[in-house]
Amino acid sequence: LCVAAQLPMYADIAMKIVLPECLQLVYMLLVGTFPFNGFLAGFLSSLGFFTLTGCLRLQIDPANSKEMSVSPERAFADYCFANLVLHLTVWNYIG
Amino acid sequence: MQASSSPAKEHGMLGKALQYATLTSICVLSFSIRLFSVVKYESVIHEFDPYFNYRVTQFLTTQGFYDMWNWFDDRTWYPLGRGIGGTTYPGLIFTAGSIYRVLHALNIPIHIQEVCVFTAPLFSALCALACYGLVREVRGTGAGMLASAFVGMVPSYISRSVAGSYDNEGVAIFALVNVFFLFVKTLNTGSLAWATTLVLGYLYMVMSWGGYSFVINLLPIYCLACIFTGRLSPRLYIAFAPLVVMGTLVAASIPVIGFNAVLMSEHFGAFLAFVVLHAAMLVRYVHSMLPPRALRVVLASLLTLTSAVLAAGLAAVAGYVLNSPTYGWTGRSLSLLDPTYASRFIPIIASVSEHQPPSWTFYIMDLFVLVVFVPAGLVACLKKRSDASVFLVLYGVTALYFSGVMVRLMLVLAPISCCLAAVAISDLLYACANSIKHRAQKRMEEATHKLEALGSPKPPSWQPLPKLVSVAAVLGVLGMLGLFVFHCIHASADMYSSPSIVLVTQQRNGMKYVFDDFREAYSWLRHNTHPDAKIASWWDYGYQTSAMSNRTVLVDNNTWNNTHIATVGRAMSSSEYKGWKIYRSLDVDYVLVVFGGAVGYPSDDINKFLWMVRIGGGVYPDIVESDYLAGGTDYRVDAAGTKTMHSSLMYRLCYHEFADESQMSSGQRGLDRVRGTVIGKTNIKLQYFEEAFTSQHWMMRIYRVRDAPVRTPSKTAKNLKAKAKA
Repeated sequence: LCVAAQLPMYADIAMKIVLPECLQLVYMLLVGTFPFNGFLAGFLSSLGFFTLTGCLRLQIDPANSKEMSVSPERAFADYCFANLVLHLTVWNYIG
Repeated sequence: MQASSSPAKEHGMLGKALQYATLTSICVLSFSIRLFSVVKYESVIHEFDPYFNYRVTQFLTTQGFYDMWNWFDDRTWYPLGRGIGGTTYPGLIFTAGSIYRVLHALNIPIHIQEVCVFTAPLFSALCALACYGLVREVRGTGAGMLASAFVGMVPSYISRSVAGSYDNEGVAIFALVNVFFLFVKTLNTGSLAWATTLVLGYLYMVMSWGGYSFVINLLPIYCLACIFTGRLSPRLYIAFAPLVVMGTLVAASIPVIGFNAVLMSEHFGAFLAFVVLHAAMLVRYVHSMLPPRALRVVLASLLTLTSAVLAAGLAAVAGYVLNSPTYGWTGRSLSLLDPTYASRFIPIIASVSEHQPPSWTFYIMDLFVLVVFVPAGLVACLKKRSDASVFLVLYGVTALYFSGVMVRLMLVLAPISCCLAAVAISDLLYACANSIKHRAQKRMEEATHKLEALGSPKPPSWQPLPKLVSVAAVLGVLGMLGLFVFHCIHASADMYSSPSIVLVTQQRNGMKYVFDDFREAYSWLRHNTHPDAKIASWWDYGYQTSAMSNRTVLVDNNTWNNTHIATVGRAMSSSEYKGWKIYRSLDVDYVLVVFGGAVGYPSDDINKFLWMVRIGGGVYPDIVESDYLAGGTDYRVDAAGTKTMHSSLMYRLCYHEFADESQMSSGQRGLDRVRGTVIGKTNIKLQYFEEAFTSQHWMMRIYRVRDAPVRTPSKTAKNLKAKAKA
């Protein structure tokens, strides 16, 4: 799969995570902040995932390749590692 | 892609080997220069705060991680207690605990005290390496090695990380420079792996020190500066955006910060910069996709929409922030932003000597030659601009401001002044060395008539300096660096190596005389009092009493409850009867005072007494400061002192039976060597307290709180006579 063709896919994934994120925020505002750690877990995990996907898309964009020092394969591996750390941290907040 | 343009190239294996050898010797140097106190005195923990950290580390190694995390300490702040897990920054303690565990797993049985004493020098060596990495990203390996050598030796950093100074700053400065190094590395490479390492480094910084708020506010300032000066790039997004989200997550998982990570104004800057960064990236994306006319329309509508959303968000935040009396900032942060805040509202923060603004002598003493090179470094960073050098400039300017507010924050200025000075000196030396090389080449050309063989290695606009000037400059710089080394060693050996728990003076025959009164008194308390005895003293000595005597104290250096401290201050300032009533109501068994008048120790409780009055008077209006000052303005302990001063509990406890002792030692009855006067009341008789212990040089005095007052013999004799007559 050519790298340039993957770009709209990543943008799509990133946008798709924003909707549940906003829903969580609205829910918190309506229902109250009681298990605040639960709210933080949900909100920040979606926000983090959106940010990391955005980073990956920026890294593999051929227009940016002269600035980046990482190959697209390495970029994807880094993305997996970053997501692992993100979700381990989020897991700490659940319950 | 490296954004630096270093003219020096590594010449293969020899160059690399030389680099590693130099870095190793810099690490060994920075470790060894901090060992003067161990060599001159002994391997002991210094000052006050490190004793608390030592006590918690002991608890961690004996009871384990979960018990320490959930520990509620009922032996401090007597009736209130203190939740240790939720009020300490655990980074230092976990670090020392882990080193201890690793060493014991390798069958090296080192006592936990030794591990604690040597943690700070070890981390100073690591800080030198982190500084090398940071400056190498800016200017190349030469400047990097200069910076790491400076950081290893700069007196300001030595002062807070000598062997024995087991305090947060020992590891926190390493964590600070490490975070900045990882940030600049991520900025230069644009790799998410480095970004994740940056988040983990930020976690360590948050765990170690309250100064993490400097980091989480400097990085957004840098991000905004980049956006508004046209340095926006995908690498900036990769460096900053994951840090904000994951950094907030990891910061909120440390109990001492908890939900403050999203609720306190200290973090709002990061969120604002996050939003602005996304808006700027969106503008950039749209810019690359649309033709100019449509672009203008879209940009206009986008900017309107964003500013509307931003305005609404800011209004909500402003409403939230203005609701709180401190605008959402914690008291300590406000005292940094507004230098006059503490003196008006929080006398405890204002009373600490290391919270005063520094004078020029502090700058010269702590930074010496670097003071001259820091402005040159700022100019050098701005002339050959890159993302990383702009970061150094911003860090330098903010650190300069904060160091001007508090002496304690000179420590934050130390690494950046080393980095900027290294950049400046490195550029200077390159310019001079290249001039010499160019002139030598030209001379060789002329000598062998090979005018066309050597092409010019430099662009035609570069003029080599005259040979005399460049040689003189190189020698001058090397001379200054030599002076710097001498100064650092002198500062470390003579000024910053004293463990304040032990005092040393030179006798007339050249021998050293040691005053070990503090440990004598704490040891007496440990061995001669009931394990549940409660000790009252001024808050300075709380941590040491808890750690060395293992007894319950009323107030300690954490100073989290101002009213409790004011109660102790009120007890010390009131008359003997009133002080006795207050102490009885708090179940106090022993009162401890520090008195330096017999030997001339200036930091004793009589000199701190006015602060006790002020802090007590801040909460209890019956303590009025002017009552203790002769004529309303003069602080005196001699006969001209006020009656309230002479009858205060602190006065009576300090000078009880002092007149007889001073007559024996100095020939004059009641000569107080620190104040330099004869005291006002020389025959003090205590009715409600009984002297339990006085140390060898009268520096620590411990009194037992009586259950009932002494019956005065004159009254009893009069009563018996009256009864006999009747």
